[in-house]
Amino acid sequence: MKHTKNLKINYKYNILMLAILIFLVFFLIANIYTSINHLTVEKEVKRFGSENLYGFYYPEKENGVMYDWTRNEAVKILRKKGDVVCIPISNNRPEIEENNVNLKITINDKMKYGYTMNSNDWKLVLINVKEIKDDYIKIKFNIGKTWRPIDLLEDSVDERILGVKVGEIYWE
Amino acid sequence: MKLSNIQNTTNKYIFKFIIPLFILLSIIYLISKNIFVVDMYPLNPILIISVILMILLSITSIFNFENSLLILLFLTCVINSLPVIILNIEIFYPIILFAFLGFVIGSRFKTSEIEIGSFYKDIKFKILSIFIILFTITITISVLFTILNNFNLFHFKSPEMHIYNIAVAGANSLDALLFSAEMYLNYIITFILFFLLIKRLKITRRFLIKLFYTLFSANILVFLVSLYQIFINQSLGLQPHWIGSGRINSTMVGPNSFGFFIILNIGIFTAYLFYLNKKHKVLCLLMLLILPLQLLYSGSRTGLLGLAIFALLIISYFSISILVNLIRNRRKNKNDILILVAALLLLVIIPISFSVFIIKTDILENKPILKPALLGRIESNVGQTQQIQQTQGEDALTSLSSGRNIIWLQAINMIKDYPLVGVGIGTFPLELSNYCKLFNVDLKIIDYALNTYLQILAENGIFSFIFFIGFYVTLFTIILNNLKKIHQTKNRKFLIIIIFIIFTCLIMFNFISGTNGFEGQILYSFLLILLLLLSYNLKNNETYEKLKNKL
Repeated sequence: MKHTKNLKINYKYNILMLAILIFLVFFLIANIYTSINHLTVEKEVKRFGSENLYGFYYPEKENGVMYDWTRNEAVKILRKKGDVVCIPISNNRPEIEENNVNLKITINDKMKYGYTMNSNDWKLVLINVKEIKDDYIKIKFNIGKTWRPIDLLEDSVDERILGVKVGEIYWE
Repeated sequence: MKLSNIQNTTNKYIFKFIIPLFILLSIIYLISKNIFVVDMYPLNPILIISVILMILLSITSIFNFENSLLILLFLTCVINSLPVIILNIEIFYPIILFAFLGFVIGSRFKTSEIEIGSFYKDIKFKILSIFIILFTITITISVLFTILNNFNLFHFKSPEMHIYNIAVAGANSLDALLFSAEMYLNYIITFILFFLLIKRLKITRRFLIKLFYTLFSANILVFLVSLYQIFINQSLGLQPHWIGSGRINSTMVGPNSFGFFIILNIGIFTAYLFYLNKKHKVLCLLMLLILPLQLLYSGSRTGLLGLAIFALLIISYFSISILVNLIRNRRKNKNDILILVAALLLLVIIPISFSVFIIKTDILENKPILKPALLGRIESNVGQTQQIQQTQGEDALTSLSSGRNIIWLQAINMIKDYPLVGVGIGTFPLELSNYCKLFNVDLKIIDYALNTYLQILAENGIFSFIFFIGFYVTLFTIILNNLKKIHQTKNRKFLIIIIFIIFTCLIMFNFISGTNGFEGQILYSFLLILLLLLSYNLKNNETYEKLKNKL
């Protein structure tokens, strides 16, 4: 009698454990599916329209111009609103005339452009993206030479590692 | 494996998997919060003493569970605003996390010599354990996936490790890691504490008296800090964004968590008023006098709601109890009358009279700082309600509800988008700004859902929510079952008052995010476990005494 009761309890326990296991497998699959298909940072950035993907410091304003400093590598994702993307860039690095900064811009991991910065003035980089059929373009900035204001500027306490200044991007 | 082996399975699961993960995440969290690299110079004596005390407590907690638990509860009440005071930094997660780690390590090395009762044999307790395990498993999976998602490690096309910007409000992957770890640790503390206490704590009358003195002394300290904030310097230990709001936080992280803390303590001292002897009753009455007055200065409307619900429950229950006794011509129960009078006088009449006195007189015209913040908020809310009725103004409604009308809608949108897995544990505050932008809502804030149930649903999905609710339903079923078998009035009513305060907190959870406040969380979890253990303990004691008398 006791043996039969124990068997019944064991049976219930095994069913319960099996149900929990099935649930866990289902829950894991649901998480993996959502993570790969919906909750990737890139998809969230596109969905919610926050342009900066990574590598930018918080936006700053100078003489009425809004810009973001990059680190050594930075990526923006933008909705495509025209055929030519206009990217204002600048750098505050002291003695840039002697220490030129090489900037590489990559669009959608395919189109690559090189640019050498030799002054602190704002420059406009124009890139034709007519060939790109996607609704969004991914602009990647690779900066050859970074600097820290605390190292190169007197009285500066800014310890950030700076690449280039990227202004508000617009379309033509 | 037999059903009775579930206890071993639970212990293995807790000690081999959850606790190491808890320790790992705690360390990651504390490192990410830069707690180890806080600028210590010039050396602050209070900080040094605090650190030494923490280390001592951590070590003591390994060897002496009961006393360390009481010290932890004491510190939980008094230490939360200390980082803001001594280091001038916002560390939401206090240093007492270290002390908690001591308990965890101690329980690993020292097993229980205590048999609390027959609850391990109770099938409902096993169901409760299953709900806890399933909830912790789902949130553990959720926290791992959330961290991986927010560092984009699931996007196999470009498996680069970067710190991404993941919210339009400006938060990045590291911020998300901190939010996720903090929320996960908060949940897990509740359930680890649950198993630790069941494993190691024996609730005796001696322990309950020690607990009373611990909480009483902590509350005296809390009251002194409140007085200092009201009369001398309101910004002591108050985080910058609360300064100027006219609300006080005493030793808590913010005025709202202070409100929650006050309600919990009102419940505890009302229960003690019933349980302890005359000398202690006076101290309880003193506490019940000062706690509601502090609530007025904390400005917490949810706290006020909690107070109203709790007072209503107590007054209704004890009025009916006295009436039934009168009808049945039983002996008068002095305790019932005392509780009823105390609740009416201290929780209703005195706070209302004090408020009316402040409003009607101009005694504080030159000292606006002494005017309770709650009265100011209620006055402005009355104006906003009239404005809504006249113009149906959306802005007034948002202001009246502290943004809840908008935040709850966005929580529902998140639930619709990810019903099974949620947006990720702890990421609600970050996703909120994204959803506001998506649905063209002008609200750029980083805030919690201000509704615990919606927050669990939005962050963790439907399964975690079912397990969370299942836990409470089973818990109340167990307690009510045990309650039927407890016949001594003193024990019975002590438990009923604790049930009332837990029930009040569950209603308050509709207006606050009850899972993100560390200090409230610890105290609330402790109260919950105390209730469960007491219900078993008292039931078993009475059954044992009955058997003994028969023999």
